[in-house]
Amino acid sequence: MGLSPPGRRRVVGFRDLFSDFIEFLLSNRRSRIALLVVALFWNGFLVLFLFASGDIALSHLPLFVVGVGLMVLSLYPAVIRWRLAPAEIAVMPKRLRPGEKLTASYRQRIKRDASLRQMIARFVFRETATYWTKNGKRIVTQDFVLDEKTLFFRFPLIGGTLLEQVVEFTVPKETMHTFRSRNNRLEYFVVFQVELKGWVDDRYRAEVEVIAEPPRDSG
Amino acid sequence: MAAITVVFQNGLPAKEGEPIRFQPGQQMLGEVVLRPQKDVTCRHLWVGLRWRTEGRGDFDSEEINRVDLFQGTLRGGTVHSFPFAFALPQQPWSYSGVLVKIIWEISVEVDIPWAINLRHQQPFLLLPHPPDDATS
Repeated sequence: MGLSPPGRRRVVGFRDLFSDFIEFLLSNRRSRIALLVVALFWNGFLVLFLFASGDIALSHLPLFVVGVGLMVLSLYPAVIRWRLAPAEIAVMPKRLRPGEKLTASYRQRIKRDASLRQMIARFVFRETATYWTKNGKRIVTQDFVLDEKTLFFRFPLIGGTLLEQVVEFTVPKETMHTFRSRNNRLEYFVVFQVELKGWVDDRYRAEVEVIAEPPRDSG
Repeated sequence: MAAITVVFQNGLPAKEGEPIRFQPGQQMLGEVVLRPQKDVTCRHLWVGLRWRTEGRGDFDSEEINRVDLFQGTLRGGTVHSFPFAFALPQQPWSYSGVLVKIIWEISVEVDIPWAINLRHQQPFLLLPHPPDDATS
């Protein structure tokens, strides 16, 4: 009943969830600071409590692991930026109708030598639903991949150089337009994902607006 | 009580099991048919054009237009027909996703004094594509 989601449904794995979380931290400074504060409190209380009681046992190891994990997570964005500068991405045109083509460009300065496992560009359609429970606001998303291109695969990156790429995507002819209401959204994104060997993914997103007009050739 | 039916007079023929389709920007013509079993005093006969969302998210809706088609007494045992016309907007198109669905409908409400109002919703599709080209 009505248009179906375009593309294939994206199944999210553990690595994607971790990358989502890092992407969220990168784009949200307050959350980064909050996580760092929680990590400092956790570790501080742990050290004070254990040393005051004088009872340090192997069973306390998981508590230390959690503390170290929180610290690493809160500092991870800084870790990423140690090797890669923030990327600049541009999409042209930003507003288009079904059936039209878009060009997305990616430009990022490499700060230090690294080994690129792969770089992927994805054209994604995302459903977002927001609802309220007694515990607060919940947001759920479901991505559909319209197209995916591997731009680099097992490629050495040299410090001081630029990582540049241009990619083209086509909006399907029979697809839903961008839609935003108070609690529900349907949106299109171009996502660039840089995967370094032994490093966390660096991911960037640019929004594309698909307007509610039929494809040109169908009149 | 009264049986309420909405009959569309234009629009594209529907696929089996699907509501009738209209194009964005098209003029919708239809009629509300009421068959009251006994005399009903009708304060208002509201007919509305609206979309609403369904799915995981909280409900969103927008009423695009609403008209009052009749005020008076609906005679029991008689078929009453009230034509209406709405200019359909360009968007949002009908959509059926995993978390979000967008449903267009004609809503009918018979406002009866000192009684529960009678309500009826008749869904339809707002899509730019001819039925054979559209994704199911």
